[in-house]
Amino acid sequence: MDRRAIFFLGAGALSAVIIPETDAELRWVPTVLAAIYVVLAAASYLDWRSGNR
Amino acid sequence: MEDLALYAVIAIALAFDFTNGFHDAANSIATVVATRVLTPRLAVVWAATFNFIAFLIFKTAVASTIAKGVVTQDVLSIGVVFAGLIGAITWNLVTYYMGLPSSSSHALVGGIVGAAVAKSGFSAVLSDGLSKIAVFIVLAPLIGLAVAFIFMIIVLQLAARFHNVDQLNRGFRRLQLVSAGAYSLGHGGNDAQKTMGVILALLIATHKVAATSDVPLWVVLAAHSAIALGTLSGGWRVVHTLGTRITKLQPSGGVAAESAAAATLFFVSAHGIPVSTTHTITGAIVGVGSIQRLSAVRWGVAGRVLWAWVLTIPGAAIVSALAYLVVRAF
Repeated sequence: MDRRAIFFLGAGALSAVIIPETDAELRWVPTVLAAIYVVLAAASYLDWRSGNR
Repeated sequence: MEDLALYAVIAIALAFDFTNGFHDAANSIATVVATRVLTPRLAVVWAATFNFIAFLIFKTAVASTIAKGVVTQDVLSIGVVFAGLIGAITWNLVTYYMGLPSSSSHALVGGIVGAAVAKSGFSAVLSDGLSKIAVFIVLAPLIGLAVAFIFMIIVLQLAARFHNVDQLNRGFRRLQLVSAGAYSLGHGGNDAQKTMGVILALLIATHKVAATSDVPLWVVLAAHSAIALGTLSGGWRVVHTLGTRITKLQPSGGVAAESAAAATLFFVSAHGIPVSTTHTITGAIVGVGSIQRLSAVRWGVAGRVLWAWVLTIPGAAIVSALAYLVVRAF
């Protein structure tokens, strides 16, 4: 299993959990960050899968 | 008598800034030293210079958050600020001698909160301001990590098109001077302002300036001078932990880590959020390390750093609460 993808997913989940706790003015920061981590997790997984073929 | 106490606590605040210099500011140069772009001595001078000139670039939003956004104005007094500083300085010194890169910023926030709670209970804490800081305790390293990782992808794409590896490495070594300077600017802009905030709180509490007042210029210059002098004094234990033990860095990785951390610090400073520069650069270094594989990051060291982070605010708060009780007894 790709540990880096899991790590990024965890970071994304943490960012998402923080969204409601953030000031309305800065709420876009954890939202964008969560989205970036999901994309990085997907990219990392695809990279890992192609390396294992 | 009150004036004498005020000047003494201002001197302690500047001493805290100095300890921040040798404890936190050394992080600015960890990657430059680790990649041997500069000798430790030159790197320290480089970082201190940019720490100092940061006042020309950043406004004082972070200082206002510390002075007016953590605890209620009525609870602030010379005794509370003094006890808060004692808590933060004690915590900094203990973690420094243990070689742990904990956060001076969170020690300061924890120290002020602890002393204020010891004086007036939990009603003295401004939960909105504290939650804003708490949210970015988590977000700052995550931002640094993600941005550094993306920067590394770009760097690797550029490197793949370049055939002369020696020339490429030389280019990155030069670029690292720029990125280290930018990071030191961001660091000076965020960390020196915390001391400005403490001094502003003192000046407001003693009615030397109005509650709506901005930070006086002499306070700005004194805080930047103190942090720059602290940086000049060293902090090699922490440099060693961050620069070489979390992950091994090449010049390209150093550029990515410092640029990512600098971008993060510029952003949070513009929004008046005090963050830990240590957290931010550590997150960025982990981001660079994980571009290859997660095993490139030495998680044991990173975990030790994490424990120091978790314990800093409550640890400094307890020490400063005890310090306040002692101060009150006299």
